Amino acid sequence: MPNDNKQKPILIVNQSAPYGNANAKESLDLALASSAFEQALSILFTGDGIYQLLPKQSPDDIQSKNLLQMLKALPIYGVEQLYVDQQSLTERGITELDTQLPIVLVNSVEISRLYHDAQTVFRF
Amino acid sequence: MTQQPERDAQGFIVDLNTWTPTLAIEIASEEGIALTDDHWEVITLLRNFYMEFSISPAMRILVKIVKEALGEDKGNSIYLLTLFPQSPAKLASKISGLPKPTNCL
Amino acid sequence: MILHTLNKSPSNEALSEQLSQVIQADDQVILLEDGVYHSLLENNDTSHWLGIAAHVHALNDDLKARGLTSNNSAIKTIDYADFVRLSSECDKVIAWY
Repeated sequence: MPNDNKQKPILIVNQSAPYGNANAKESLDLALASSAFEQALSILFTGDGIYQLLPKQSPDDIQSKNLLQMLKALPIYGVEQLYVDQQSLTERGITELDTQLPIVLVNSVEISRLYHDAQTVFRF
Repeated sequence: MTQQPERDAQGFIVDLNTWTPTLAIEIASEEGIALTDDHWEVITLLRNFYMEFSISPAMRILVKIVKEALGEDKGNSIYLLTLFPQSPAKLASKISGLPKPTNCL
Repeated sequence: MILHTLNKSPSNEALSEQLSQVIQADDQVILLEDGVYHSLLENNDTSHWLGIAAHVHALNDDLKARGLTSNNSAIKTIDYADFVRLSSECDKVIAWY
């Protein structure tokens, strides 16, 4: 599309808990790699994905890398806001997320807009 | 001479806890680099970044980290290429005892 | 007495429903892997397994990895040795996954 200079964003949707499978790690790898191409990137955490944002994760004893620690690097990679589905928090009894992450709570209308604004959507 | 810690096929150390400054000097010399204070500045930044985020940064972010800490004169690819020729992010992380940058595409 | 192990998060509702049909009050439940996220929930509903089971345990390594300290007093934190002991004490083990 030669006339469309404005880069439409990629949306990455995280709907998986962090350590039970590889989805969260693969999603993060894609986010970090996209940044190398200076792609406009939005990241949404919904469903079980919000478990990725719980504070004080310490996965050494299950031989995993600390994904929370890696998420904290996203602002340096140009991702300034992490969108979090408010309703998913309530459903799971979660009252506290890590305070060092740039979290923006969103409702279903805002989530729908994220999907519609994105040119490409990846769900993990 | 003491036994070197285990390294992978590309020369990256396997257990990050086995890294020492002496080992850094040895790995660097294998690559034909004699470490100076300028190298150590970058090695320290890289290791601090890894300790905070568990990520070995690829080139673009390495440049950004160096620029923020040491200014424009050093925060550019030409300077880093002078210190760590050909592939600065890969070479610097190897010498710093960190994993190979995963998002090197 | 049956030992039930559950390694999926509460969003797998079908799994929780099936477990709820089978479980009896004196059975043992061990939450492991993503199963430990159940410890965030309070459920006194006697038609739900969390409201039925008197003995619910969660593996410490999996809690710690996910940033959960079992602040749910109804759930006891255990290690792998406890897991082995409970397995040998029960007549059979059913893995819910």
